[in-house]
Amino acid sequence: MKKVLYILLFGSLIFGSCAKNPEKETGKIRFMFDPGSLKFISSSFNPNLQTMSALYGNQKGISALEAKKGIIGVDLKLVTYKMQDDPNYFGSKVNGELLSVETVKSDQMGNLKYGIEFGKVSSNESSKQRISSILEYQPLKLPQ
Amino acid sequence: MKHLKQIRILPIVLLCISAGFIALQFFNAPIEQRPVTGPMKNVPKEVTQILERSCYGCHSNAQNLTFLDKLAPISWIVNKDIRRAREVMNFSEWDKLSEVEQKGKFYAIFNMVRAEKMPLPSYAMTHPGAKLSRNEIEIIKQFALSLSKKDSFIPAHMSPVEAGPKVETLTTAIQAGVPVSPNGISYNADFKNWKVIGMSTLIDNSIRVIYGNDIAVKAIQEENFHPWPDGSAIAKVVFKQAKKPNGEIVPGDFVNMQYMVKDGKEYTKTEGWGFAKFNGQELKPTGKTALFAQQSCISCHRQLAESTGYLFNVPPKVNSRKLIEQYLKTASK
Repeated sequence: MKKVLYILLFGSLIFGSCAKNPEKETGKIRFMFDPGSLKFISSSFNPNLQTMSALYGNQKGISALEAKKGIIGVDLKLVTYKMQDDPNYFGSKVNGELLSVETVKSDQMGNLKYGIEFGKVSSNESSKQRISSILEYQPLKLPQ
Repeated sequence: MKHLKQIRILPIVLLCISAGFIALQFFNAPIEQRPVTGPMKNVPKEVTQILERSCYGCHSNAQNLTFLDKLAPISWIVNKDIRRAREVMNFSEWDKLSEVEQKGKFYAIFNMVRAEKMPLPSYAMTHPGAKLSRNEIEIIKQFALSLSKKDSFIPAHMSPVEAGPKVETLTTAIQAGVPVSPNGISYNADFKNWKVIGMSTLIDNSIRVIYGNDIAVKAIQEENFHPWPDGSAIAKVVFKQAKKPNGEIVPGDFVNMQYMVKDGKEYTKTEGWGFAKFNGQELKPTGKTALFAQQSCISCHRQLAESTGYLFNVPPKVNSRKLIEQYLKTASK
């Protein structure tokens, strides 16, 4: 009987106590990149640099990835984040702090121009190499 | 006089309580006894000993129930916990899981014990011996990690060259109709037009992209996910990892699409979320019955993602407001 009372007492304490486990308040905010009219093309992560990237682009940008060269009207954006441990699940890594936004756009002649819209790029590659690296992305292959 | 009345009432109250307690036993059905059909194999003894002591009480067909556990109303709680635990993971029927699923389960076990969600606090309170020490949690972690050690970033069938930019386009198309999960949730191809809310990788050698519909994105922006508004939908698309010549990892073959849709009235057993999973190029739905979400999905979401409304992959709070304001200022130029 004593054990029953013990169970009921502590059971009520457990079930009656605050069940919520609020996220740690870090003073920081969540961020979701707004690509505007651009579409998500693909993602990547770099185990050496511990970064994660998402590539967005317009239709001409997707065509440029297929052609591996510049055409008029290309608009590509590579958004790179720090890669970090998933706070909810050991074994998983997620995109964390925003590091940089790189752009590849074409001029009126179809020549590709590289730019850094925001932040600092972790890679040591030259502008030309960055364009080549970005053009290596392929759109996700989803079931039709 | 008043004192005498109290003395007379006390035995009557005790008698009523006893009679009620005895009456409860007529509504006491014992938990279903099931045989041990497929115990774990190739798991170190030190790991199985921990699991047997802390987990088998519910997650197996080999319960060692005490007299009190069998008494109503305690038995109602105990039986409900055992039924739910067996649905989620049953060490006595371990062979029903594929090797990949078994590996995933060990990561889930580690995450549960690390977060002190398992053993259930109520169970640990009444079964002090079930509690895991730090050392025991570390043993589980090391074993989970050892299961992935032999893997590389690249699936065995895919060389780095094949995994590069010249990966062949997959041509298989869905031939007939839209795939439907056993719980009635249809494959929603529209997710491609949703916003990407996050990216992730898992030690199971996958790379994932997570999309949210407008309702879900708005809920994240407004921190409005306790509960998530009805109509919120999330699609997590899972790919094999493919390695580029420069060392970067990119999505390779499509593995599955995991879909969650919020309807508080429809999915009452799974915290208001409807789950569906569509596998491979044929988008074959997961689950033989509508119960699959109760059996395999919700347990981790319920225990480990409560702070974000039972949804993993809500973008973490890691960006300084100043940094984001600075970016938005630059982007709007």
